[in-house]
Order: sequence, then C-alpha cells, then structure tokens
Amino acid sequence: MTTIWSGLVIGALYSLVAIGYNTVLLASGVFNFAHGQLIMLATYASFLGSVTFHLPWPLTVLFATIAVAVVAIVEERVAIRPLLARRDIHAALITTVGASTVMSGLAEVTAGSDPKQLAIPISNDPLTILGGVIAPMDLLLIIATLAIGLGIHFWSRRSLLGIASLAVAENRDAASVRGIDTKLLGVGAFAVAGGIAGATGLLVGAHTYAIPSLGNSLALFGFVAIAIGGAGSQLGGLLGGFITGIIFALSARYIGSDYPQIVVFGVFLAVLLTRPRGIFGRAMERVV
Amino acid sequence: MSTRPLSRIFLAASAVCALFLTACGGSTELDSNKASSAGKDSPFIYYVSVSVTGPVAAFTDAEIGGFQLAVDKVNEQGGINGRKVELVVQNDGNDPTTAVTLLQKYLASGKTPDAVYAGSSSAVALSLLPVLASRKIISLSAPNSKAALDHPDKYPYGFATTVASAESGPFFAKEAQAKGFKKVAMLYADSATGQGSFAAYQEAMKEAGIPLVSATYKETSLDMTPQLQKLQAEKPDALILNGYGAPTLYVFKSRAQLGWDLPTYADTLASSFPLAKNLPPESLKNVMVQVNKPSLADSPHPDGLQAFIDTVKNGDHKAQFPTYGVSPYAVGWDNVMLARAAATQAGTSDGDKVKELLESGKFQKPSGDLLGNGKDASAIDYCYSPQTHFPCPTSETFEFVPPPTTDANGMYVVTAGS
Amino acid sequence: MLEISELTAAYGDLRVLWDVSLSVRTGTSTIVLGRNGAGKTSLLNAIAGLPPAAAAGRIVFDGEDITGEAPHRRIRRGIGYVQENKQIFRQRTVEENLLIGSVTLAGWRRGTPARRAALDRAYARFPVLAERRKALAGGLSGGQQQMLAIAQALMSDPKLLILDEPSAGLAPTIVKDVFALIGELKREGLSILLVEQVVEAAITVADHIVVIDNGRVAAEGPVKQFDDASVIREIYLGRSGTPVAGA
Repeated sequence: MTTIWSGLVIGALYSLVAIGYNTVLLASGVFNFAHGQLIMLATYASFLGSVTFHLPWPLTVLFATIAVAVVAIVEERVAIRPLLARRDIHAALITTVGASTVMSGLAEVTAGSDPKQLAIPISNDPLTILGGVIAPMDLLLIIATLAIGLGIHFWSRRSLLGIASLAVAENRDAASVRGIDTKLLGVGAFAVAGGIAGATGLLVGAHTYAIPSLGNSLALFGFVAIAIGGAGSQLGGLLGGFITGIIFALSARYIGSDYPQIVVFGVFLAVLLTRPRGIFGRAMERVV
Repeated sequence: MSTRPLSRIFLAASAVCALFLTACGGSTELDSNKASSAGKDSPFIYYVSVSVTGPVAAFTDAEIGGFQLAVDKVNEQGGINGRKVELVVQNDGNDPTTAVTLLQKYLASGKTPDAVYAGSSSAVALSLLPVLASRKIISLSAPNSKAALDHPDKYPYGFATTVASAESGPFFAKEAQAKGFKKVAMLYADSATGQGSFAAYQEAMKEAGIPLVSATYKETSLDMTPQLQKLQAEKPDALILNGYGAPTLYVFKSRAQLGWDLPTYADTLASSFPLAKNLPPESLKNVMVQVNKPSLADSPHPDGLQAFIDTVKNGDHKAQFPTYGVSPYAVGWDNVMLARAAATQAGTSDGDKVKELLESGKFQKPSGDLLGNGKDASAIDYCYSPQTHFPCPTSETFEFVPPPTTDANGMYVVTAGS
Repeated sequence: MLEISELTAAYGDLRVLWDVSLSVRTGTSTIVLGRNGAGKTSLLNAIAGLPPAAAAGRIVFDGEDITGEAPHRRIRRGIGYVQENKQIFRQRTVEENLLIGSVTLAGWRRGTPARRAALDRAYARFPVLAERRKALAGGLSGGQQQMLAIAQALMSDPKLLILDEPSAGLAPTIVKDVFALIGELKREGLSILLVEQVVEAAITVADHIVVIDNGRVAAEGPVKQFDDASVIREIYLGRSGTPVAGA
C-alpha cells in the first residue's frame, strides 16, 4: 500500500500538470509546454512566501496564486498572442517550449540549482493509512488535486463559461462569430492555469522542494497523463495522471527500477495505438 | 520573410565549416609545433579548456581564479624553465565538439600549448585527448572517469591530477568488511556518473566477496519510495547512495517515511551536497558521508592555505568563494603547480620527455606548492606508470563522517552528537 | 443597416476582394451570387471579422464603423453569422450549442431570464431541436444541423442575419424548408445577407442581388433587374468582369 500511496503522490503531480495543459488547451487551442515550469515557479513563489517573507500559509498560497497567474499572463502576451494573431498555433507550440526554457533558466540563474526547502504549516510525521505510510502534506496534495480536477471538470461541463471554452477549443473561428471573446478567454485560461499552479505550489514544493529542474521532470509525464486520459478531457487528465503515477511506482517496486519509464511509455504507446483519443477522451481531433 | 533562405544558407555554410575545421586544423601547421616549443623567448603556454558560460560557469570562474593566482606566482618566481607562463582560457561551454573545434583552431593558428588543462568534464577530456596525443602535448587535468580515460596506450600524454571517484569502491569495501556487512544495497542515478559510481562499488564488493544488490532512479524522479521498498525487501545490512541534490533529498525523505534506518553511506557526489542543511536530523540517522579528508576543517592543512584563502577573498574571482569555498581555487592552483613541477624536473615541456618522467616513478611531488591535498599533499600519491595515468589514494584521502556542515572557508565541519 | 464601401480585403499579402461596395437596408434581403471561388465567403468573413482582413475601405453597421473590430464585438452589435458547412459545435449537445449562441446576452449564468426566454423561442421555432436537446450536435441529420446553426445564430437576437450557402449538402425538400424559414425571418423584420448557389431558391427571398466575380462586384441591382435568368447563368458560365446590369 505504501507503494500505491507513493504512486498516487507522483500521480497527483502529473495530474496537476495535465490539468494545466488541458485548461489552456481547451480555451485557446494551444499546448502550453511551459506549464511544468509554472508549477516549478509556484514552488519558488511558495518558498519566497513561506520562508523568505515568513507569511502564514493562507497568504503564501494567495501570493503564489497571484504571482504565477501573472507569469502565465505574461507568457500568453509575449509568447502566444503574437502568433495567435497570425493564426499560427504550431509556432505557438514551439514558443511555449521556448518560454519553458526561459523560465527554468531564469530560476536557475536567480535561485541556483540546489533544492530549497519550503516551510510547511503542519507536522509532516508520516501517517499509516490503509496499511501504507504517507506524509500528511502528500495526502493533502492528493486530496487537493482530486478536488481541483473534479471541480474544473464539472465546471467546464456545466457553466456557460466552461461550455464556451469547450466551444473555442473545438472551433475557434466559429466560437468568435457566436460572440465569444476568444482572446480574453485565452488570457483567462492562462491566468486560471497559472493560478491553480500557484495555489498548489506549497503542497507540491513540500514534496519536491523548490528546484529548477522540476518543470522538466513534470512536463513529459504530464504529457503522458493527458495522452492516456485524452487531450482536452479534464477528467481524463486527472485520472491519466494518477494512473501514470501508480504504474510508475508499481513497476519500480516489482518489475525493477530500470523499467518504470519503459513500462509507462509502453502503456502510453498501447493507448495511442488502440485508443488514440485516450482512454477517457472524446474526439478532440481539431486540436493539437 | 525574405531573409530566411539567406540565414539557412549561412547556417548550412557554418555547419560545413565546422566539419572541415577539424580536418583542416589537424593537417596544416605541423611544423609550427616544433618552432614554438623550442623558442627560449616564447612564453610557456598553459592552455585551459573550461566552461565559462552555462550551468558550471560560477564554479569555473573560481577555478580560473586559481589558475590565475598560480600563473602569477610562477611568473614571479621566474616562470617555467626560464619561460614566462601565458594563461590561455578557452570557453568550451562544457561541449566536447566546441572544445575540439577551439583547440584545433588554436593549433591551426600556429601556436602550440606546452601544457593543457583538458576540460571540466570527462566528456570534454575524452574529446581533447586524441588531438593532444597526435600533437604530443601533455595534459594535466582533473577528469573523473578513470574507466573512460585511463588508457595510456590510447592517450599517452593525458594525466589525471586528482584521485578518481572510482577509488571510493575499495574504500567502502574495507569499511563493509570492518563492520561485518553480509549484504549491501546501492541506489544510484541512471546516468553516466551514477553508472560509473556503481561499477566502482560493484567491482570492489565483488573482490571483497560481499553481495551487492542495486536499484536505479532517473534524475527526473520525484519520489524514491518504490526503489527503497524494492531494496528493503532484499534485507541488506547497509545502503550506498549515489546522487546529487534533490534526488538525494527524496531518498532520505522516503527512507525516513519508511522508518528504514539501516547504515547508509553517501558517495562523494552525494556528500558534496549539504544534506545536514536540508534535512532534519531524524532523517539522517545512521547516515555517513564519504568526504575528502583534506576538506575537513580539523584536518592538518598545508602551510600556505590560509594565506591563499586570504588572497582569493581579495582577488578578482572572490565572488564565487562564499558558494564553493576554497576547493575549486585550489584545483586550479594545483594543476599549474604540477605542470611546473613536471616541466621543470624534465627540463623541457617536450611531450615525450615529460611523459617519460611522470611514468618513471622519479617524479617528485611538489608538496610545498600544493594546496588541495592536505598537509604535504599527503592525501595523494602520483603513482603514474606506463599502465596508469591516474594518481592513487592514500590513507589520508577519504573518510566517512556524519553529514557535515560547511564553515566560512568551505571546509566540512562535523557537528558533535550526530 | 450595413454599408460596405470600396472594401479591399486580403489574407496576408494575398488579396481576395477589390473595391467591393454593397448595402443591406433594414428589413430587406441581399443575395450574393457568384461562381465557386469568386470571393463570396471571403466577403461574408470580412464582414464578420474573420480573415481576410480589410486592407482598404469601410464596413459600417448601424451607423458605426466596424471595419477593424474583433468578431465578437460585431456579433454583439447585432450581426448573426451562419457560416458555410454547418459550423456548429459537434461535440457539444444541442442545448449547449444554443447556450453558446447566447453568450452575448447579459450575465454569465446559464439560467438568466433572457437566456431562458431565448431558449424557449428557439425550441418553439424548431421543435425538432427541443426533442433532441440532450443529443450531441454531431449526431444530428444534415438538415437538423443546419437548423441548429441558424437557431444558434438567432440566440443573440441579431438585427442582420448573414447566411453562407444554407442549402449546401441538403436534400431538396429540406432546402425548401430552409428558405421558408429565411422568408419567415425576413417577414419578422430581420435584415438578411445571403450567399447561395441555388439561384432559383434564393431569388424567392431576395430584394437585391449582388454578383461577385474574381473578388469584384460584377453586377448589382434590385431583383427585378435579374428577371432574365440567362443573365445570371452567363455570369456563372464565365465572361467574367462583364457588367451585366446596373453596375
């Protein structure tokens, strides 16, 4: 069970990346490869809040939420908007990779490559639950990820704004001639994705520390998570992340530590070949 | 838009140029080799290939500080064999291709180094050594990978000046025998460095007759619980850990979470990370780290060390001192001093003569000039021979200590009670 | 209602419309005819704010210059645009499609009174959509999809309805239904700008005809000037650029 918990914790991290990818993908049709870096920056913002400024945790969360949302908006303005104006979504994919490199580079230059420990609000003595050991912060991370993933899934299916964003993802031009402000929705999606990353920075950083390489560690498996779950499906991304994490942990534990990546990518390929839209994905053929 | 084809052509052209540079540089200026090394009035060229930009830039800056101080000192004392030393620093960006291109260009320009510091990484060294071999140029440098580089047949002029990290294997094996471990586990990074470290331990444990079980992790891993559980199931008596930075923290966090407090030994790489600063003491129960004994604050230090530290702290490259301590400066300094000792004792910087001296066992280590290997350089034995171009460890080279903190000079301090 | 004067429009450097002028007066309908590739859809897109972008000339709607405005602003001013090929949101349900059409109405909640009323009107006009409100739009028949596309454009309560080949790909009986609907909307006071290939059906709802060829207005005039269908046929068959009547 400890292995399962471990897989769920890692899976929660991948799910958070997948949620960020999907939020932006659904509203603006752009695959924001830099989302892993936004999570990385969130851990630094949470480090600044909790350690440097000695803020109580609610203020740390608020500070990180705003800070990362602002970074995401700047990314949209600088790296995405000029290309969307030229209707060049493929180039936008490349510029998000560029934005990703810039963010991790800046973090490394300003904060150094050594990990930084966050101040966490509760005791992190391990708990034994269902016969497995897990740190309290990690348990909170899993719960928060589930709540955010389910919340945003139902919100995007039920609310008018959510439905409008699904419409933009399906057909940007058609949505704009239905009266939807696609630019505003695009910026909004970046802000929301950044805000979610920021808000979870404290929980993520409690597990991973603040470290510049975090974005790269997360980016790839977040991608696997949405490929398994289905691009454009928030529920699929959420479950895809947890599935990826559990497969990873179980294969590291029982097959051999050299294999988890191979097994995960094997599952990834199998899903791509048999269900190209992901296990939970409904058609998103116009996107990506 | 219209500039695009042009820039493409330019790109293609420069790629072709880069390809040919290698070939051209190698073939043209053969005779200038002898011309420049023979001249008594020409300077002794100390050629340094390092990464001035990129992730190791700050560390390199400190090393360069050491080179510069040593070159100034040597020139003050009359140079090498009567020739003034000229320090040439090339920025290879830690990229083997760049390093080779720069060296070829330099050689093609008609100049020949008298001694070379061949890169901050084993990969760069590996790319430079064949070129240096073909030009019979001595390199004295500090690469890590003995397995890849210690081949005097292939690289007859390449010598290492620091003890290879692979020597940690036999050192641990002795500890394991002394403690009576029946079975040992190792967790290491799935990278060239990690595999190198594992190979060293594996060989030493095999020789000692102690079974070694292992697991790897990717550098991008964010949790080590499954790997540790897998090793725990093997019921080892001790754990060896290779890694640096965040992955090592994840290991100790998972280890504490699993309540697994078996004796754990961090290799030299893992121990260079400030574990004690980043983890609560309860996570570091029964943890020992392997350190270079000269780096311990209370080891006997060379007489000149304190004065050197004071000079560094007031010098051009002082900015890196608070981060890295004295060690990278000492590496730069020692390599220049070794180059001087070798060329002076051989009476020339001719590659074959210097090589012959170093391999002969008659090379006198310049103990008084060296700063990075403890008092009288007792932590290193330049045991070069025609079979090995790597120095040997001594009883003063390594030590296991509880995770230390660092003092203002970057020296390890072991706090009591842990 | 809509005044277009000397509009030149281009995709980047590629010009597709030259000096196009036309107008739609309140409560009337204008039909744009022309061969495939003549620039009809480009004209409608330029009016709605999609590419091609205006390079010169003006588009005035309801007395306001909207030439450089974003599409959603033009829609909010009262333009409804039914694009060609039934551009509905196939992965959303019928009701979600209608709700998407209602985003221009005030408020962001689904259940505002204005929004509910607009939904009720749509279902009253299109009972078949009411029956299938929970169905995925992509699963509707071609005729139902066209009805949904029109219903969706009507949700924002437009003053001008622009339709691009509403008959394309539909069975003749359904084409008849579509044009009956357009006639009904016109009688209700909606201004209409229509691109159509099926000339005979289009003429039944037309007040004014504009013929486009090679991106320019080739002929223009009240529908009665085009009584002789051979004139139109001539334009379809070629002799491009020949002014036929009025122009």
